[in-house]
Amino acid sequence: MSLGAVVVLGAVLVCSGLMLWIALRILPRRQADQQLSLLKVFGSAVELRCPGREGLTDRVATLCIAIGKDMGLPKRDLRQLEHAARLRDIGLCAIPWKLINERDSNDWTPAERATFAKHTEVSAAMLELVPTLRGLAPIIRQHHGALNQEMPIASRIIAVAEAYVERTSQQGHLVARTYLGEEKGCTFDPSVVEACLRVLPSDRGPVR
Amino acid sequence: MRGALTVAALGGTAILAWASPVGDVAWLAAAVLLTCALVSELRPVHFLREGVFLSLSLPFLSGLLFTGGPLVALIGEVIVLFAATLLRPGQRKVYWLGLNLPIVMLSSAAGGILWWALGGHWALRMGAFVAAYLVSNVFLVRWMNHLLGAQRFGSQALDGARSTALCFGAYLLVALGVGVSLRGNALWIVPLLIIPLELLRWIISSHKRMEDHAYETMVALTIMLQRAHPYTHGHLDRVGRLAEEVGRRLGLSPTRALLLRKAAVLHDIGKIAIDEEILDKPAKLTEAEYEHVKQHSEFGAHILSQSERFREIVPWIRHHHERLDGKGYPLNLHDQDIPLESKVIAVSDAFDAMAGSEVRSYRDPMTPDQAISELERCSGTQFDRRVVDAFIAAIRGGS
Repeated sequence: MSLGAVVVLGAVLVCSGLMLWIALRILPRRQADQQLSLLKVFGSAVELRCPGREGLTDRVATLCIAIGKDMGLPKRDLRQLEHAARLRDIGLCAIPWKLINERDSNDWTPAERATFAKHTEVSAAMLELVPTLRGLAPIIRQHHGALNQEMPIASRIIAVAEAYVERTSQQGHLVARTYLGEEKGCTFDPSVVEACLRVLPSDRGPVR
Repeated sequence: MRGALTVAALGGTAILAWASPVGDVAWLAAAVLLTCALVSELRPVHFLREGVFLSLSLPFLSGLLFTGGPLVALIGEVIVLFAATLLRPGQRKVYWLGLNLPIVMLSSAAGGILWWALGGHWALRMGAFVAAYLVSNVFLVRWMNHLLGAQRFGSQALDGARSTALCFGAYLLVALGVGVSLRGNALWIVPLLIIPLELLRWIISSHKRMEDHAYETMVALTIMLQRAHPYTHGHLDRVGRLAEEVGRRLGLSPTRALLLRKAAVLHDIGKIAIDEEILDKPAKLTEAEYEHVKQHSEFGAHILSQSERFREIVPWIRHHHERLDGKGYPLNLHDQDIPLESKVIAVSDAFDAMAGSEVRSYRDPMTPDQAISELERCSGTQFDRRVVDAFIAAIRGGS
């Protein structure tokens, strides 16, 4: 073969290497960054509508991932878990603004409580309209439901993490821990509660 | 139009057949090339929203030039298209063929005639073939989509100059690799060249996944807004389309006009955090209520600023309620400080709010003419005159 041929084939080889590097190293990282930042958009929208919840989304997501890691979930499931944790509250946008912002949640009438409780279903219904996020809908739909065989593991984890973070912000982490212990086996999956209690000391700092 | 395309395709083929009839065919090499091309053709990247396939078979097909001339390349194209259509799952095969056969024939004829007409080194002529093929193919597919009324909205994976350059470079390099191996009698190298193409496919499709994800985030955000504040579906979409058209008329590049459309669809996203009762209130707002509503442009900018993806459109959204005379909000900017894109969004939004087909509770809708004269009345103080002129041209020209 001539020199020109060797040069061309060499260039093809170098280019392949370059593309392999892009495909394996650069793109996955950019993809993960973008997904996370897009999820944060939803979080900030919900938090602007419901100022009382500032920071909750981040904390629930972080705790979910810590629990999931402790329970040995594969990477793919962890990502799905994080997405579900961050998107679970987008249905709050359909709850009347005044109910969330101008009324104390302790004074709600039963009817208002029922309206508020619908937000999980609304979140799931909204996600079902979006093809790439459709898979998250069952997880979100079930995370407030009763513990049963069919409940996905991600829903169980979110239920525990959400309960812990919300109680902590209202009543402190001791009450929250006791609550998890009391409800273990009734509302919450025992193995998830155990994993949660194992990872909790590291909850204060960034886990990831 | 389809008829004209078919005639042009047949004419091109006839010219090519006259100019450069098939010589001796190297059958083995042709078979290897066709197989490789078919394998690539069967693994296309789907751009579902645009209804476009991107298949990476061209480098192998251009290798056919060396096995018997440009007419063989054209025939090979047709064979691969037929085979791929038969093997690929999916309905409407006849329709698909009828659409693509003339496009493929015309593109290869264009490339083939260039190959035949040019003199000089083979690599140069091959480059010319690939370039002519790609340019005419992209142009014809776009044109066809335009004729069929397909919406092009969303993914920019194929539009960016950088990704096009990357694709073209990789294509050309692999095509040259094919040429070199054929001329050096090293036929065994040809199948190996599927590897770089497969890598390219991988990169393009993960790029596309990112685009899709961003697009769907946008969709989900508008769904959220519509749950919080039930606009009729049409408003956001209409404002988006109007803004894109006006942007084009004001000389924005197609990519930027598309971005403007996205921004226009998202421009009121901050209303997620505003009390919907006030937004829908039929009566005039009190001072305090108005102050509350005015926060929405700042809120929208804050929400979107969480993602790098929306970096460019954040200022456009923050300033879509500024006025030329500085009486707008949130920052009381004056004419030259307001981004052009914000001005376009402001005009499109105002027009659709006045003349849109939905009936808002607090007033009767205007006719388009009344709305236009209202825009003209406010241009110079509230709206930019240049933008209003472009907008009126878009409305009148478009309908």
